[in-house]
Amino acid sequence: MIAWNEEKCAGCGICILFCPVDAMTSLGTIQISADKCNDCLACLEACPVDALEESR
Amino acid sequence: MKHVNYDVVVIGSGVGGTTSAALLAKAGYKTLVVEKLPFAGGRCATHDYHGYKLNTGLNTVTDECHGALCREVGADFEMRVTDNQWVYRIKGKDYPQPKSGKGVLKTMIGHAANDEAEADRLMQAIKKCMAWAPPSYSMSLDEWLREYTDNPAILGMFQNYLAAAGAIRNSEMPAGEYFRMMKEIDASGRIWGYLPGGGGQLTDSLVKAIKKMGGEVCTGSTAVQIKVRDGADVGEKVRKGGQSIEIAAQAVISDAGVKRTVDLAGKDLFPSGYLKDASAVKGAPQTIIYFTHDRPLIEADSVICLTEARRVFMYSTNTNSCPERAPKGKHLSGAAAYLESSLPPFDLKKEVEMSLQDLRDNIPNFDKYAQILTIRVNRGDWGLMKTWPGYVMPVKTPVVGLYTVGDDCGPLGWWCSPAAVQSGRQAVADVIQRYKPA
Repeated sequence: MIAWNEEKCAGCGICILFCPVDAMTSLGTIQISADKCNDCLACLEACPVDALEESR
Repeated sequence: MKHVNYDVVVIGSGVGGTTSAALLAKAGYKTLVVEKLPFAGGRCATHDYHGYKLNTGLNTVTDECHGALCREVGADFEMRVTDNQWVYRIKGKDYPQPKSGKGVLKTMIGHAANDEAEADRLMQAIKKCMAWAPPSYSMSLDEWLREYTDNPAILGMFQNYLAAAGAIRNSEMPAGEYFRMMKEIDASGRIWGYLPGGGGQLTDSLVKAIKKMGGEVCTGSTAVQIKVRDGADVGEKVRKGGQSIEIAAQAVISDAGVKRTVDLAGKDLFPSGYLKDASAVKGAPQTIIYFTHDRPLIEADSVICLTEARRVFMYSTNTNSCPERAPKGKHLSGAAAYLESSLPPFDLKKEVEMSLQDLRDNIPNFDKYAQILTIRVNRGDWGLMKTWPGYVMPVKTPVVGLYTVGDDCGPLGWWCSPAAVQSGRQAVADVIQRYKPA
């Protein structure tokens, strides 16, 4: 599962564009669907400010 | 550890970085661009999202600035100048902005002013600032305007102009810098156009040109340290896929942002005055909403400019001029909004809700026919621009051989991507003067 850090997030939205399973949405804050996320880490690699982390 | 040699290493592949690298490669320097993200372009990239081409930042370019650069370095540049009508919604009525010629500002101020005397008073003051001397940097644009009028329609119109070019609020804008920009505007380019496949075509095209001229661009490669060898020579350590590489170079040009650059080289190398100036550099935030629709929702070929909405200052249908940017039969539209304040903390949910409410109020049947694609509140280190207009750093850092580029290092009066291009030009001109290709 991926955790989103609001303090670090710079709002670029690139994670949403890079998610291959549409698990991420944004209404200003990022929501990550636990059902859809397959832990591929594409969002984490694309984040320019390290606002996404793997969590257990 | 692996060691390699280059003449110049460029950190970051945004507009400033790719401009620098392309000019260096053309001048015969062995050039390497390292980019930590898996794609090139930074805030000048375009990504495919379900068939829609969405920009991470840069939307429009000018022939005078971006076009001239591309021609100089042999990069493709196809700008589509549109016949878009800019429409200003002032006091609930729509006024088309004259497309060219003298007196555009006078005409628009005339629409917003309560009477002729008010319009004249303001126009005289503007003329004086342009023809004689600009106002101080110590007063804000809002304070300057309010010496002549407190008419919300006029203040709103200036807020619209400012948000579109500089992404901050009137009260945050140094008045002197606003007028300086108006004077520099002919050099940075007056006629803006779109790149048919999205703003990212600019850096894509520059990257292609860099490679064609023998330069290298490595994505997924993070600069982890800038090392200074003997005070006149710099090198860099880069991590790529878990492997560390040490790169020796005569000069390093960083497009990673001033603060990140300081961190990479180590704070101890910078005098306190530089660090103080650097701390004044802060991202200019903006909310961007992309939405799609099957039927036209916005008057054809119009850019609607709101002057008295809560947050949204502009929206248009991108596919009117660039149908390439959406699947067949679909429209792609974008709206831009300023924030209540450009300084954190930001109430993200409130900002987005207010922006959506503006769209509902101004676009008939928005909820019924528009489908939201993405909503983002660009801020902090990934603000729509790296800095507020007027808060810029010099291209040459106190560390010999280390340059910074980007819109936070451009000359005063230049904003946004033209500033980034100009900073790259300045850095490369200095490199060429001091260092010869090995």
